[in-house]
Amino acid sequence: MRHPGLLASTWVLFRKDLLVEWRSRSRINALVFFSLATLLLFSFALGPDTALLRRNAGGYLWLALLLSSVLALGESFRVERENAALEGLRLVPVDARAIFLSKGLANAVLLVGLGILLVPVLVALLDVRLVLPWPRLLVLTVLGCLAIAAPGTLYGAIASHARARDVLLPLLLFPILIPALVAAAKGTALVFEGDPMDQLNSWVALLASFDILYWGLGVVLFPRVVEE
Amino acid sequence: MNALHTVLAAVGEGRIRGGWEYVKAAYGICWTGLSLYALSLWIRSRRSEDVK
Amino acid sequence: MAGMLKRLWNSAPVAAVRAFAAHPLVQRSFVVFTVAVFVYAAWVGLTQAPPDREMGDVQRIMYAHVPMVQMMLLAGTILFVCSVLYLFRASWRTDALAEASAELALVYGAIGTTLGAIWGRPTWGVYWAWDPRLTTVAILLVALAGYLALRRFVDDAERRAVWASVTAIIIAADVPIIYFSVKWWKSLHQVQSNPRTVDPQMVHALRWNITAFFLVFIVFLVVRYRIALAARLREVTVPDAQPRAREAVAS
Repeated sequence: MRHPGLLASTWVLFRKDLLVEWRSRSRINALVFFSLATLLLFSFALGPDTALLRRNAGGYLWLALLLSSVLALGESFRVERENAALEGLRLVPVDARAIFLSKGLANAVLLVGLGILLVPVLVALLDVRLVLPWPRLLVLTVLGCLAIAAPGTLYGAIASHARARDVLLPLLLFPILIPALVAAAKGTALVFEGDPMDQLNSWVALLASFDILYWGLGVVLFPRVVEE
Repeated sequence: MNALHTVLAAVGEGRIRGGWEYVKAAYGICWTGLSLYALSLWIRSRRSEDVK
Repeated sequence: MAGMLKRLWNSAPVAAVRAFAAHPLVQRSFVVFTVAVFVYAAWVGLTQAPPDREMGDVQRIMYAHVPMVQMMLLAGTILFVCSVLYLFRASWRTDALAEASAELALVYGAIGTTLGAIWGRPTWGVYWAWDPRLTTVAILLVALAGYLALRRFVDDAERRAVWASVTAIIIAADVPIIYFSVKWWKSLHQVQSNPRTVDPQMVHALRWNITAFFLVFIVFLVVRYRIALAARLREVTVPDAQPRAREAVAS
């Protein structure tokens, strides 16, 4: 039997992950409401000075996404642990790199969806406007969510087999993501407020470099993480 | 004139800021921290040998 | 290459030096020597070196702060090298050295950062000015705490070693990115001043202190390494068993 190539395996697993997520839509709904709730919390904690809220909207968006990602990533691997699904996959045998790519992409897609959903909420709640064209915000969102997904998937796999996994995942993930958080939040703020000094491209470049580095590292290191 | 002389003298010595309290705090923390860690290492080393 | 190093390690002169260094009396004397150098260096820094033209005596904090952060970076480097090494050639010694250096990096880094903040108060006016270097170190400390938590929360010794190595590599890869992002983030706001130590008497004091802190670091590292290695060997039922070589695992 000819083993499927890396890309083919990735595509099959990716569709499987999205299908599993779609079938448990209630999980996604809970995630959406969680991220909305965090936005509300930020507004109440720091409002009601609307000018201040508007200025910090970029930061709130990415904090909400970051906090939601921890839940999403934890769930993503809990699904695998039940019924030892991950071990079953490895026995087929499936290239571990395909598992990383597919899971990472599925998580990224989920986060991008969440981000897109949150923007109109930001517009309504915090009175932000898109000064720069929306494709730039989309690029930022995609790059930022990819940045969360790569180390997130790697650490998600590790944490799911450790004790205190719900605490361990954010503890491991957050320090690593600080540069991505800074770049994404600053970039989003520039999209909302305007970019007179043309800084947006620097932040996008930083995010892109982060993505390339961590997706590369993930492909190399993930097989070591899941091997027996 | 006397006050000016005092200030000028202090300028030359670089002692406008004084600041020995900061130096004491810093060195105190450094030495205490290292000593506590050394103690922790010693206790754990003992415990490790006892188990053997 | 590895074979050549091994032959060197077992050769007569090197073995003689190793036997000498392993003697308990020699080791105890080394510790005493270290303490003596440390006391001398502190005396030089606190009394012999001149006060700075602008900072005054607050300058003296540099003689403790700079070596502490340098040792932290040294520990971090050792951690990274051991982590990469472990993934190529699994060995409990490498894993134990990684654990030891991680803990030392955290301790030295925490104290060093605190000293940096204390230095900042009279010179910057605030305890924390988001200085890129200090901020990067602070983030690194949190990451190291996560690394040590991971080690504590994984019970299987081999998996722990692999996952810890992976985590350390991820952290190390991030350090330059963190530095640049903080630098850009902050450069939108203010300029910071850097301490200068160009006076030869200051350089002299700094050199002695770096030497002193390095000797203390070596003592701590060796002790902590032994504790880690002993724990590792206790965990493994057959003392001579090394973690399975990478090639032997069917993937």
